[in-house]
Amino acid sequence: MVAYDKKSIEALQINKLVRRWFALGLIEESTKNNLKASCISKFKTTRPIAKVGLFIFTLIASLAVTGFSMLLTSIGRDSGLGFACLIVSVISILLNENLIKHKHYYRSGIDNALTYFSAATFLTSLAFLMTDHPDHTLLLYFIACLLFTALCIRYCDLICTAAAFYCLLAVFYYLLHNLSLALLPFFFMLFAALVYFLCSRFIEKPIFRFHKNNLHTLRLLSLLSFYLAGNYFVIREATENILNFQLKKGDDIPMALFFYLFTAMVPLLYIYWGLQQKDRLILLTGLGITILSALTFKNYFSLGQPEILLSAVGALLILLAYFTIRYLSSPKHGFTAQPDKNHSDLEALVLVQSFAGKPAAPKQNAVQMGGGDFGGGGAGSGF
Amino acid sequence: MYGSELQSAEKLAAQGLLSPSELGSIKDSFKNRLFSLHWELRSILFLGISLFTTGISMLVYKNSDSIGHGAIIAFIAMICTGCFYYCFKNRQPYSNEEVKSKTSFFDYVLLLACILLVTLLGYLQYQYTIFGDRYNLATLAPALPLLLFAYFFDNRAVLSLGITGLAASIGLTITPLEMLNSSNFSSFSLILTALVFSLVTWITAHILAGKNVKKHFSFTYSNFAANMALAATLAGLFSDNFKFFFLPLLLFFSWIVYRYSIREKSIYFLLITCLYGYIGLSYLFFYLLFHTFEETFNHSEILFIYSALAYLAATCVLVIRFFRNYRKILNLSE
Repeated sequence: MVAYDKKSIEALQINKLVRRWFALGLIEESTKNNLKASCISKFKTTRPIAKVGLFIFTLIASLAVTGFSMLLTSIGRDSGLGFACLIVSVISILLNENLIKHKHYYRSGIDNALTYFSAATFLTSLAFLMTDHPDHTLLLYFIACLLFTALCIRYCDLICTAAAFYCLLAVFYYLLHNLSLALLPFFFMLFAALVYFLCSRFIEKPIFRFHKNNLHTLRLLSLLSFYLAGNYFVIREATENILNFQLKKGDDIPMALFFYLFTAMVPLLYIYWGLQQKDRLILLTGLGITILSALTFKNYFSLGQPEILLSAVGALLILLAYFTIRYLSSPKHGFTAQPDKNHSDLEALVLVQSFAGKPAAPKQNAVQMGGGDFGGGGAGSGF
Repeated sequence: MYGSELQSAEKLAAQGLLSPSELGSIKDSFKNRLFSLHWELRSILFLGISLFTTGISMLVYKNSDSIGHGAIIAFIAMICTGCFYYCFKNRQPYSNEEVKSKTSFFDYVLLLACILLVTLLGYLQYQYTIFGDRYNLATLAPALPLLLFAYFFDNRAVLSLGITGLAASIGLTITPLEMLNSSNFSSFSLILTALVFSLVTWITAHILAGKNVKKHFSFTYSNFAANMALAATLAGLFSDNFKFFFLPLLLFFSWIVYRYSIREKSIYFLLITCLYGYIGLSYLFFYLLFHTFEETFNHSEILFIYSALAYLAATCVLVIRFFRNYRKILNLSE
């Protein structure tokens, strides 16, 4: 199922563990060298900066090839353009497979770019070919979801995972938003909770050993979407958009109190839960959405004196951090304020950082599309 | 939580690659592993400081009529002096080698002090025009002490601030993209200024590094100089009049940065050589192509587009093939 050489991925994983164990002083140097010698991966690893360069140039080259084939098939006719995109998509995925199988590319920037590009052109071609279909947005999202799931299984790619999850949410949104608007947030909350618990349950299972980070991504996204499904701002904007009216001053959405409470409580619960479980992913998500909640409340209850609010909140945060650092000057309850030596869960940090740029993505975009901001091939060209 | 780590450890132990005692200590370590809140607490602290200073400065700005400029300046000067006092008191002795500060709190205080110094001098110039009409002097005045402090306290963030101020004092704006976009950069003299400035910075960095003075600063200098020089030559290429004057310059600077990347084994410098060089050469190619087609083929756009796309695809593949070999080029081991 996984395109990359499994033995080599395992070797990389073991090498990482060995480095950690050695840094913690748990194993001897000779053991470390033995282990390193016994686990050799075929992959040429690529440094991050080199990845960026290779990714950029691969994308330019692929775009140029697409333009070329589009011109060759015929200018202006939708079916011709769709056909051209389809061919490019198939070629790039075949090339990708070939490079991975014979040249042992692994996350080199080139294979990542080819994966995304192939998905994007495939969806664009569908968008061209299906313009006449009545339910074409829904169908497109559905196919996109299947496609990204397949890519995520085959290439263990995190962005494909996120895209698949987003498409699935969009499918649910299109199916359900005409049925019952009031129940929609609760449906999304339930769904997110379900995804979260399934992922947590299966993450340590051997069959998912190559997809651990994908499941972590799903955990992060389901935590986020659980919160966003009940965030007051999101609910209010969504209601106005779907029903196409503006709430008058003094009016409020149904069950406003519940959503206010939800917006206020969920970040705190996440932080508490993260600390209790010592799970950095939950903790960081909690800290991140605290900012979103603060912004939400500031949006609706502005006191008119932001400078005092800012100074007060700033002073509180400084005091909080200062006293926590003092309290933890010697480790207590398994917590420390010292930097992490074993890097055991820094992956979670990286994961959160790479998604931090688009915290409100899943739900809000779906809302905007309801409002009519959606352009035909958008699903594909967004990536 | 450590399930898969345990599984791997047990599997390796079963293969005889881990000794039983090592397996035991790995298992024990799961119990005692501390959960570090270092990053989180520092982020909260940093957020708190930025919110607090923003709030205070808004407060000051709104009430500047009733407080009076003198009081505000005195206030900023007081905090600034306080911060510098702290830094001087807690500094490590100077050395030409890299000196790590004792705490990260020290770095924050130093950075705050330097930013306050810039703010203070800017305020004085804005309110009382202490440097008169010589705006260059107003940016130069904070830049020089900053460079000094950068060496004295061994801080690269302060060094960047200092170089930026120095460049601003001779009229150069900093980010490469801004340079390419802004109209003020299209003037010939400014491009030349940028080139001379980056050459001087580059040479200074190399002389200092050669004398073993703060060798780890040379990345900051070289990064700044390389980006500025290459962006300036690109801006020159895009200008209307002196296109072909800048082609040899682009090649020259790319060659220097390329040599440097090999010497320092730096993928970053190799990448920027590729990017700037590729953009410049492609621009010239398209420029010439466009003019050829305009004259000979009588506006046959389609052929132009075909050749442009073919050029892009072919050259990108070439660049990828070149760049894939970065290990060989830079002589890197795994």
